[in-house]
Amino acid sequence: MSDAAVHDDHHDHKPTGIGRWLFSTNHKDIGTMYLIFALTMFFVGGAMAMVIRAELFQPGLQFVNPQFFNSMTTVHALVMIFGALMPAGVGLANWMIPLMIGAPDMAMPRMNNMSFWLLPFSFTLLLSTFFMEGGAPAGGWTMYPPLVFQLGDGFPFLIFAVHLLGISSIMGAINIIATVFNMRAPGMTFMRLPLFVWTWIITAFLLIAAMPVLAGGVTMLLTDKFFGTAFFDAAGGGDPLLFQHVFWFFGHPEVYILVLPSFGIISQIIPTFARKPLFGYSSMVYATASIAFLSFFVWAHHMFAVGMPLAGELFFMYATMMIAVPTGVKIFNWTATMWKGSMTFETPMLFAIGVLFMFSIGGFSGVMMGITPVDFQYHDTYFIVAHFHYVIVPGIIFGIIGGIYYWLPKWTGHMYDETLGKWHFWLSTISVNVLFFPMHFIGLAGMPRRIPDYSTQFADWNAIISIGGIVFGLSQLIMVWVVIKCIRGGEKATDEVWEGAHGLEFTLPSPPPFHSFTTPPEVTEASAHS
Amino acid sequence: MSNNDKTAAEKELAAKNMRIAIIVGVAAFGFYAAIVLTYMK
Repeated sequence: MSDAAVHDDHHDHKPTGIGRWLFSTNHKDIGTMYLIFALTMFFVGGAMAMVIRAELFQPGLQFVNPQFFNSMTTVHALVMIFGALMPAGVGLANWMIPLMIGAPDMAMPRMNNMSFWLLPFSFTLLLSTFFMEGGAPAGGWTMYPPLVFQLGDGFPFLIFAVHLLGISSIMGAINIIATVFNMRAPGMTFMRLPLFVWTWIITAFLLIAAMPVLAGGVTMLLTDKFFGTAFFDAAGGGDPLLFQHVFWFFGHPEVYILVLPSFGIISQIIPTFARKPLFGYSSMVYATASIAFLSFFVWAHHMFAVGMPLAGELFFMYATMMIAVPTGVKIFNWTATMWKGSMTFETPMLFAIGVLFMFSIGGFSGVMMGITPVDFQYHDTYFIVAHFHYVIVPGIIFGIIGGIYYWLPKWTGHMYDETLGKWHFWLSTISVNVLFFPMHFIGLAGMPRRIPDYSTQFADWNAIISIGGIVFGLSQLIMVWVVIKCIRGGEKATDEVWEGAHGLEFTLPSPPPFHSFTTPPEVTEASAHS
Repeated sequence: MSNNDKTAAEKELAAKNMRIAIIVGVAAFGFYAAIVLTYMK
């Protein structure tokens, strides 16, 4: 433990009471609030997924009417993407970036507080639409016009909620950029930054470029609905397809906004448990930047079926294929890091390897869909649902969960229950494949997405999928119990936590003091990449 | 901590942070305005 790390212990006083959380400017407290909020939203969105799977357990209409079913699919996506995954990533960034770069806190702590507290208000607006005339949004999370205009009183609430989310994300991104650019410890050059920090800088720039585009799109929806404009109204000289272009210009980079931090997390975990430095550090940085750059040139692969000129189809098809190259570099580097390593398989490593295998499944089906002629076959089927859930659940959520297990002893000062962690991993892994893999089969056989009823030929697989969904949902309660147990006590964690762990965060005590790195540590080449 | 209690280095860091925040914030707002104005007829 460095002297700098524990400098000024007598200043390590914490505010108390509700004010500690309401007015917090401490990156660890704000990170904790983000993570608790994300976990809450994960279960809210998960409950909606349970309604969907209960309805689809067998053909016919069982529990909910079609309108409510459509609200479930729509709000499930909005809650999971904007309420669970993004806040979880920002929570981990808040907790870990200052510790990893040797900074005392985030660059703008008050703005950090505001970024967080916009989220509960935004989701209150969104979820309140369930109690309004016309119900909750039901036209899909993509909010395509003219369908989205069928939404009743909830429409302006949806638009305002999305605006607030965008403002929150942009403020968070500004904070991360300023923190990493200005507050690195002496010797912490850019090419010595931990990969998790690198993935977050790139993600922050993606947020700055992509979120305003979404905000612009939904502003135009708002003015079309209430102020007589015709951006997307063909009768007024507008074009409904314009919204799809605008939305996916945001939407595809959004996928990488979600997945890059997960890549960063497993880039921290794999070297620790392989007991080897990350293979190809520089190429990892360049591959991450390349993925982010290319993500702005592939948006129309989400809308091949609308019809576009052949040149456009070819451009977007080849650009989509190109993303497989830097992604392949990353997969290769993670594999090469493990090659001949002294590997052990603690829970974070299991989740990281899970990401490696199962994100690849989602990646391969993504390449399949990027091929324009065959995309017409897959479009709007369960094959698409299978693809993006493989990317999001075992690709992103497993990465976040791996990060939580990896850093939990550092945060709490206690080791978590390894046996329960492994139960969580194996139950999640088996059930997630039972849940999503058969969706490929029923999708290829022609089952459409976003429909509450289906042909009886799909009945068997749907029953199996629903069972997988219920087991996956219940498995996540194990994680909640592990976290609560770890906070309450357990074997004391060392400062290093893991035998093979490196990085400034592991020079601090476990748990770190409320104010850490008030005197910046010195970083050398050897300490950065050891 | 009031502004008077800050050291010169802290004030310089705060100014640098503010500069980045303004540049990036203006860029973000610029993208937002550009996307709406581009399609305004």
